[in-house]
Amino acid sequence: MEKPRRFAVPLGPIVVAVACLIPLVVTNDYYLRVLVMALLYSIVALSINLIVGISGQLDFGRSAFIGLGAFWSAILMQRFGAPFWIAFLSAGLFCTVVGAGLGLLCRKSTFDYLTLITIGFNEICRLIFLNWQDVTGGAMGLRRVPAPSLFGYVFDTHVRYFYFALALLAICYVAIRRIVKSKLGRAFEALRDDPIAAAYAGIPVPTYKVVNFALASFFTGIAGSAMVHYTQYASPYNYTMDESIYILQMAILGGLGSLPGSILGTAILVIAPEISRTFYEYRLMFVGCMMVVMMIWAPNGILGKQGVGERVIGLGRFLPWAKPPALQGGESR
Amino acid sequence: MSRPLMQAEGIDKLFGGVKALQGVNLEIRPGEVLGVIGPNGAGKTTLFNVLTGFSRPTRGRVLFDGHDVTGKPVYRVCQKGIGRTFQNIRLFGQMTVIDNVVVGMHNRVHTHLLGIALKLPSTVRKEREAYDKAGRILEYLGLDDVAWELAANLPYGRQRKVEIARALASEPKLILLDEPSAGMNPQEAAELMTLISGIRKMGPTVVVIEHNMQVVMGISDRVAVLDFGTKISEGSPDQVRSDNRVIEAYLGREEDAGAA
Repeated sequence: MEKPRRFAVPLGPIVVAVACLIPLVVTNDYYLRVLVMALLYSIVALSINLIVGISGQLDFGRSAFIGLGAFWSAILMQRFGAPFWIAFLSAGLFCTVVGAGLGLLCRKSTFDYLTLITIGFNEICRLIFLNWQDVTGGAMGLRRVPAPSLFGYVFDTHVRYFYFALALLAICYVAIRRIVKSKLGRAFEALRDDPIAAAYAGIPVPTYKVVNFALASFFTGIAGSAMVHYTQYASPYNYTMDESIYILQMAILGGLGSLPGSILGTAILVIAPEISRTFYEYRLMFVGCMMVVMMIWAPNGILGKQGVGERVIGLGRFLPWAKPPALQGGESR
Repeated sequence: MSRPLMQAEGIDKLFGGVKALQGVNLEIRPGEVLGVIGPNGAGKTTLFNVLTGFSRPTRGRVLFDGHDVTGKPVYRVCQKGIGRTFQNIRLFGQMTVIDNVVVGMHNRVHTHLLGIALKLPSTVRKEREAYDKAGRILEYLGLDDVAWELAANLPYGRQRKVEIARALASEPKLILLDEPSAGMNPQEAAELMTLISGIRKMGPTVVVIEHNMQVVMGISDRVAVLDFGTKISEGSPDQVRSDNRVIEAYLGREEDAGAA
């Protein structure tokens, strides 16, 4: 049975093609830098969406995994002179292993306890980054992290890094979408909606929670690695719970369960504070107010199921040229 | 007589001081429709929970298809070939109807992470086969028009059918229906009876908890009656109907009625 298509044209390639043209228009280094960060944070938001939106587990510790990926990758390149691609991929794998470990610890914890565990984990990681002087550089952090290079091509300008980040986001997006549309993704959604019914469908729920955590942590890890090689500085003060909550809000604002939503939410929350200094100072207040309004009026975010987007599109039915909606959902008798 | 498909031997289930089940023996024979009836609180749903490993019996053991499955995790027991529906509907509300059914096939879709990430042709083919099969099941149950709707948006009666579709999707040897006709009008209940006899012709053995006597007497080959956690009667619908203990359990004793 084929799913009816929502759009007549494939939107993905068009969006990527348009995004490729951005550096031709935006030439200011500062703006490009903001855009690169938005692209990289989008990957993190997608990974958190995999946990919170798709599997329904609340995770307040995602930034710890950004930090783990960042420090792992930075240390590997700086101290051991590993080539970029090894540092980059192994950062993902390292986070996968840590994520699986954390998942194993709390695979049978219910929702609220899992949240507390992730908060604790975030705090543990922050303290390790801050105090393990010999390895992480302590409060000074790691400076002069080398820029990445692939096949002898060094990504040392903002434009080059923009294309690198764009390609990375596109690959991660496609990979996560394929996961969500697969047997794995269906099992994640099933255990989110009703863990008991999921078990009766033959799904080993605790195992799938571990798999979910491990997979999401891979993407967080490589995003962390890509960030640290871009900013070329790993600060232990970046990977706090505040940061985790801010990232979580990117996924919630965009719409939990919606992958394009995560990118949109990230774009808004990364770019908006840079538009004006005033906004930057009040960003947490703004985000707080926004969350209150969203939770009451549109708990599913902008692009989530029955979210703001669908409501706005739904208003289209009042237009004079709109076709009357087909009757559906009635009991067949 | 062939080997029973499922066997419960001397099941006790205590919740603190409450004896939900006491010494229940039950045999489910392959190919039959077994009705389980009893007044509210008799332990019918607890019996289903014990049979499927959802709750561990305090005493006794459960055999399914020759394997001891007592206290095994639910997904293990169900992987051996059991499907179930619930008294209070448990659908995956934020998933589409067809996805609900495909989740039911979880252990019959053999894809792996590499194939998923690279979108290998074999993965694509297995996914399409799963959705085709789910489509056929939905068509059989008259749900194909809402295949891509969110399950939560369906009316009650159709949600029940989606649960049955999901249970059927795993091609179970045994299907347990917990009050399938709850909240249905007489006509829907009649449709349900046709559906259950249809399911039985497809292969699986059916055990059904039911309050609607017309339904349960109409479709069952055998009926077991529970009251206060013990099995008080078992036999053909006619035998059970004329059993004094059953009448007592439902209507009270004659002297009680006289005293009142």
